[in-house]
Amino acid sequence: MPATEQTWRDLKILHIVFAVAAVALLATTVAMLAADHDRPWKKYARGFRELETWSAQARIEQQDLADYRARGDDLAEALAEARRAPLDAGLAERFVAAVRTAPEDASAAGFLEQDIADLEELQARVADLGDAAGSAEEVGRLNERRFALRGDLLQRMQDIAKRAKFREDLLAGSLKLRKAELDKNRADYELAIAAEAPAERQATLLALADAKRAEVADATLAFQGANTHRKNLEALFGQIMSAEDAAAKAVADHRGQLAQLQKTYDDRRANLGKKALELPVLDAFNGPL
Amino acid sequence: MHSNPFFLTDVAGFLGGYYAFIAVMNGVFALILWQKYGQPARALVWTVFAGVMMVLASLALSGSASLVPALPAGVRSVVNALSGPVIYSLGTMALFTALFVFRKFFVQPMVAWTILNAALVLMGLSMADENFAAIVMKPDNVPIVGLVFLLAFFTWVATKQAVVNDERIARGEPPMEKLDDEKVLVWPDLVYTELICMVAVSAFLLLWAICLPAPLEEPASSVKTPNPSKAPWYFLGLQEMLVYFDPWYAGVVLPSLVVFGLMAMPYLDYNKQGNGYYSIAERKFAYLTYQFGFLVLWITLIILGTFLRGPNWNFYGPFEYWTPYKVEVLNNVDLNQMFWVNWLDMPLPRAAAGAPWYSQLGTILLREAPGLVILGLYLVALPPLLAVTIFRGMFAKMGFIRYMIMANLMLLMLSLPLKMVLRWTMNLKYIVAIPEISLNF
Repeated sequence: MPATEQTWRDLKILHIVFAVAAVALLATTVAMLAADHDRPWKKYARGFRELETWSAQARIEQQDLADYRARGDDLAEALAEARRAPLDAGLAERFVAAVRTAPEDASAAGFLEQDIADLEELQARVADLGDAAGSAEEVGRLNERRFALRGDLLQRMQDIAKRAKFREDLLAGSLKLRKAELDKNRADYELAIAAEAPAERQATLLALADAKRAEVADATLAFQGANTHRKNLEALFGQIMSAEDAAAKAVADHRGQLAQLQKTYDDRRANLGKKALELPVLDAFNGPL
Repeated sequence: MHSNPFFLTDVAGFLGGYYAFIAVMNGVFALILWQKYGQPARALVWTVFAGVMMVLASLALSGSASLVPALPAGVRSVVNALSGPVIYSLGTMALFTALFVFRKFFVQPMVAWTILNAALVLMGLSMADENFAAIVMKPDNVPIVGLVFLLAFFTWVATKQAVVNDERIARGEPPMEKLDDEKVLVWPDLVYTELICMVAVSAFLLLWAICLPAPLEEPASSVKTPNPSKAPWYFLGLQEMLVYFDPWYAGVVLPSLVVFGLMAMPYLDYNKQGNGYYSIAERKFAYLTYQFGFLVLWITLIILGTFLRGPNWNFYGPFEYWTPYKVEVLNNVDLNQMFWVNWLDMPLPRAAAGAPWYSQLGTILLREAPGLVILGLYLVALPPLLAVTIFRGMFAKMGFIRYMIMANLMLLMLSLPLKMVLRWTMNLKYIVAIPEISLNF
């Protein structure tokens, strides 16, 4: 039977049913969002966040007292003192001796020795002047030069250690290439044996592999030498800087506590953005609580 | 004896509303019977029943825990004592048979209404039991309770239409579906109603989720597993099969065969009758095979796994407390053990240590010979035997290949109830057990 334009169900009734269902869906959707917004654990999460904020703020205020600042000043002064202290002559000489073991750094060793000698001379002049009357200005001028020279010297030492590291990396790369070439030569030789190549061909390939093996041995020695040299320099430089590094760490730790508390406070405290994300509907999409 | 009075006080409000709902439902039904169908006598009966329900509602809402209607403790104890996988499985098979044989009786609306009310009242009385309520009212079990009622309703509707059509066809009349085959417009008669259904069901599901929040627990931990560890409800039938079969068979082969069987159905079906309308008489074999597989081997196993399997996957009666300390003795033995040790009084055949592979294989085949012979007879010899006996007509119409596929699918499906019976009666674990290659059947 052909279709007619008359519908099977009464359209008016369908419209009414649809309207009722749509309103019900709207109402349940709103109720769902309200139920999600009013989850019982949220008030505890909110309370805990306020507690954390209050706690962080209280500890910041506690840290910010005079004794905390005095402790910070003491540590800063200790750091400055460590930076002003004369270098350990024995360690400096050992560093120079270590530098000399690498031919590439031989020229740098000369500059180092010169700097160390200048520094020792300045230190001696400062010591000679001591607390003599009217010498304060001269001592101050000499100390300024001494601090500058000390800084330059340490920077030069650090640069030498960095150059040693750079050379070591180059040698490591070279060693890796030589090993790859050795692998290839050895594979060629083994393939020639497997293919039962003429004895002459096998001998040639074996000679190539042996030559490459010798190159690898040389490259390994060079790399190991560079590696030992660099580690030696870094260890000595670390010993020279140990007092200064320890003082700097103490200052950083002291300031870090306050910075961490400040960060906690900033993270936890409610702000406009967080409050907005805690609004109904918006908090359904992974709110800050 | 009543349940815990605190529990009864908590559940009294729900039960009051529940009985009141049944009362209103029957009041409306009585009104329809009287006004629309002109049956005042029956309307009076259901009105009285509605009144009884109102009395039960009043008792539940009386505020006294001792007045809340409940099944007597003796009845609950008897039900618990009689409950078990054997009774349950045989009972569901018997119920399925009865529903099929007496379908003309059960499809009568008044009978169905009576059964529905009986089920609702029985459920209400059972809900006053703390253990029953703890399982049935668990938020993730509530949909399964709904599923049971919905499934019963739709099965009843389909069966009723089939019975009506069968009677009409027997009288030489066309089936009901042929009487009203006027074409209707896709819009609005189909698409608009689908849209309305979508909106209404979405609203209903949202309301449900708000009123009965999902029972979410803490993040899963491999060191703290729940007991019982249950699969999602739709896989509980598979989990129940694991009691009787090896995981590869229960978890992989049987589900694959279900899918394969459903896909193969249109190609195996040679019966041209019963297309486009409901009918049982014209498609008895197809109807029975499908309903047995779906209702008995799938749905009832889901219900069993959901409501009656507790800690350690032990069976618990509907009113029994799910104690994790319950212990059941399961002395299951393989067929090879029964055959060689129990019956022949011989040790199991074993290959000598370090024997060559063909010697070991031969020993395994000898050891498993009884099971392999039974399996061979079941899957290879039985189909031809059936083809020349009870399936003679079917074999002639289907041809060799289609018949063999159908016969093997059916036999594999029947392997589940057969294995269940063998487990209950003989404590049989596996018919063929070859743990050397993890192949057990």
